[in-house]
Amino acid sequence: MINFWNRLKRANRPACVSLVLLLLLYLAALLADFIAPYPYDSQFREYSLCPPTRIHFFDRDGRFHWRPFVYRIAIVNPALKEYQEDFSTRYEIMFFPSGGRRLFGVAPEGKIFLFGTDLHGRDVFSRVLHGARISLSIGLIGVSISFFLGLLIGGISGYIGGRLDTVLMRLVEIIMTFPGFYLLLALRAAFKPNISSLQLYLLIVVIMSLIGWASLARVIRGMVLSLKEEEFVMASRALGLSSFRIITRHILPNTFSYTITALTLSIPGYILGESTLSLLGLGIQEPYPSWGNMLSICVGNLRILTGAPWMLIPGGCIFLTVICFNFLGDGLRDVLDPKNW
Amino acid sequence: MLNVKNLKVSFYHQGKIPVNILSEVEFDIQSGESLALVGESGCGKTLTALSIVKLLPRHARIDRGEINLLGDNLVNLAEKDMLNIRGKKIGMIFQEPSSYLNPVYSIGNQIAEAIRAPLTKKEKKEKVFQALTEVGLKPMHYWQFPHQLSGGMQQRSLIAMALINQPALLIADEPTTSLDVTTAIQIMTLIQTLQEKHRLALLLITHDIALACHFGDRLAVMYAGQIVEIGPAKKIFSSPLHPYTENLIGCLPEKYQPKQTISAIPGSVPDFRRLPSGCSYHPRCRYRLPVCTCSQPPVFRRDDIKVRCFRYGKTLGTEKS
Amino acid sequence: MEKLWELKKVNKTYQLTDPLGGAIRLEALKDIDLRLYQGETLGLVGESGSGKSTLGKVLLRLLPVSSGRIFFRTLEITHLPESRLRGLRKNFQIVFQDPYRSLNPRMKAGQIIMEAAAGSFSEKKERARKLLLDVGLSTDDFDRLPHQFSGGQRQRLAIARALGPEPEFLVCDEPTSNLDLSVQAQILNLFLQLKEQYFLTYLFISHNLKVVEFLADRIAVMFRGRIVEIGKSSQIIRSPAHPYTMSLVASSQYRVTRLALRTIPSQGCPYACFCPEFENCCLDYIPALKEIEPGHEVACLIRGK
Repeated sequence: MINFWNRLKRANRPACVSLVLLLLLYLAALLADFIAPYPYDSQFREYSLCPPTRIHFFDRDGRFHWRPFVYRIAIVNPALKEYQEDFSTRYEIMFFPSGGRRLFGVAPEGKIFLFGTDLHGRDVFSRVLHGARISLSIGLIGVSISFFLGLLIGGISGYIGGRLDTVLMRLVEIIMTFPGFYLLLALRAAFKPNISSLQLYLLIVVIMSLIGWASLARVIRGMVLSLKEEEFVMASRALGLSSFRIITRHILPNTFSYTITALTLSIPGYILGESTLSLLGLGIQEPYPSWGNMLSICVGNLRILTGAPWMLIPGGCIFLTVICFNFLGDGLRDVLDPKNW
Repeated sequence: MLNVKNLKVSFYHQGKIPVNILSEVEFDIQSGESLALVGESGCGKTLTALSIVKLLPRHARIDRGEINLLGDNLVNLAEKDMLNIRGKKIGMIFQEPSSYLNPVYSIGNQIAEAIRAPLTKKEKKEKVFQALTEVGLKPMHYWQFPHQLSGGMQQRSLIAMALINQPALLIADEPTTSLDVTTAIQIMTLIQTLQEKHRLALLLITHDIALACHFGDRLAVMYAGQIVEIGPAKKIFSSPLHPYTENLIGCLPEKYQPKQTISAIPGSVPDFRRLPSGCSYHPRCRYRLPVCTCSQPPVFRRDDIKVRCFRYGKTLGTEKS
Repeated sequence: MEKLWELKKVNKTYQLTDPLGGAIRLEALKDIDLRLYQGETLGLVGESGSGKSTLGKVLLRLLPVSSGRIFFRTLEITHLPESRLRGLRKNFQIVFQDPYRSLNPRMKAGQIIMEAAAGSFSEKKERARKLLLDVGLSTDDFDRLPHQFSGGQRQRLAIARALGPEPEFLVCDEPTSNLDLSVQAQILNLFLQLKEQYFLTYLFISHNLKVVEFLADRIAVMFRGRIVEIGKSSQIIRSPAHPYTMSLVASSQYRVTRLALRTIPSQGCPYACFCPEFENCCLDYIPALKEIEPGHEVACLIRGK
């Protein structure tokens, strides 16, 4: 493990940084309940479209306080959604309030909206954290399923060849012709409109990965076909090793430098897929947040884009995640090359 | 004709200490003469050839030395002047003929492309036909593609390409290594014939010391980036002076009775980044003297052979006699 | 001497399709009759395209045979099911030409040899260590990866792997062709030493006649998929009978041979288009191997009398 880290550091600086960032993001998603100051569905109607609360260390008189604090948010014009900091009242940020169930917060009369609020007055920061759970996990689960299926089918097809190979590859081609996105829409429509969110989530993941494995299988099959002719594979056959051992020990590990890199680069596809669905209103439903459905409100809504730009933060999170995965995938390619061990 | 003096070439990789590969390389070739440069992989012989035409790999640089061709020092020549040298005054042929031919053009087309004289298309075609005949191919091969030709025929086309502008020097870098033995002998004989006919200077680079001594007038043996012995080929082959040459000839299986143990050289070729102190060969040398471990041997002369070994010094530490 | 291998009328044909859909038949091996005896080193020489590497692989059933029969001792293994063949494979192994491609780049040296050996984990480990020393490497190399070795060392590792299952027969497919002269010398010595130590029989394939002359007891010469001459090493080198063998021997001694270049219909003797001794009867049928002196056979109408 330490070796891996060192190698990554040596190979590719951005990949290192990306790995750390991603780990932090996943950790934050895991601990969303703890880190978020508010539940994802608690609404503060009076504070709808409130800009991000500023954190201060120095007060108006220039005095430094050890504890960071926020000012009370005064509602100037509820119709026009104008807010202002009320410098008369300070609320200090407390850590582990209410017996340690949350990381930080302020006194109930005060509000701390680190990323502002949305149309319904819900804290965007808390919703981003909870939304991370959906968006980030979909990538991982989806990719695990495709990885497993792709390796299995592609490996067997390539190694055994013959009719089995022909049949499997035709199957793969049929699957690849499915317009995945429309399939998702169709299946979504086929189910009752009020299936539970969990079921919906699983449906989306499973469908995306069942389509995704096909192209991976095809590439793996190609690699296996050429690896099969390698001399060290022929040497293994000469030793009398079983086909199973040859595939698992000699052929497949030599495909990893491609597969693992391809996988890290395809995770963003899942995240974006889910986001697109949510954007169309067909993904995770309200009130459950996902980065995609949080962005859907911004669609075509110029007033929000100019007046409340913090609503685009989920988009920034998607961007950050995708970039990190891309850099990571790049760095992994170097790490997995045995010449660098 | 070609005179290389005190050539030093090193690799300068970013962020690492420079690694010196060729040091104090010196040799000359007269017209009509062939010099065979022999050494094992990694000794620097290909780098020497590339240095002469200044097609050095990306991180290599000529540190010092002279490469005099027909009176001009190539080391100082700018790149645009080198374009007049390559292909015109120096012709080159390489190891894997199929890699050096463009698969989508006919060989006639490619040979014609190499012609530098301002001739009309018809004249160029005539010239290519002449060249094809000279190397033992038929005019009909003009329209054939590389993959339609055997390895030997591909190499012949490359020879035609290299010689079409009547260069003064021909550099052949392992021209027969990837060919079958019968074809190889035919190609080497062809090169020899052409060399005599056109009074070419030939630099033949090979790892096959027996081939080198058979087809070369003179022999230069290279080890760890230095020429350790240079002189008439047949003389060196029958009585080698430098211990490495002696050992290398001693590795040829034909020098032994069947199944007799070959006196192979112990150890292996040193890494350029960790060369032994003093003489680079001393860890593997059975004639090792104390001085060999701490000083680099200068070049000594024995009749018409120059050798870089302390055993041949008049008094130890004498400079080049 | 006990007969270890026998090939009877073995053919290997590749059916390929060219890019435009036409069928191409590549006849790599044609009518091979060969006997290999225990304890000997049989050298197999020929140039590229002669089929010598294919013969080695077909012998070990690493490539399927198109027709003909293969016998290992008295057992016919031509159509033996893979499950039974697997149990036999420990008796015959192969060392490949390219030491840069014959080793799995992700496996450590020790693991590579252990995979070849039999027994419990500790027995395998012991054997791996012993073999590393036998081939001239050190036990420190146990945990090194292939790319950390030089070409000669990798070839030693490949030999150690081949010896893992304690075979009695080794096919050596051009094992020194990619190596420097000094390294080749070391490896040839190693082959000699291991043969004594482990009582091995070798099929030594090479295009280098000098190396084969050095190592082999008998030599078989191949041309375009056929064995054109076979005999004792001294017979082949000193009195080669087949015109092709004569040109090979001459070339290896740096003498140029006069080769004819005829375009003739492809029937009859395969060497007819190059043969300086061609006569019209050579086009009539393909000559079979005929004995011209004890132990020396040649496939030539003119020389085979």
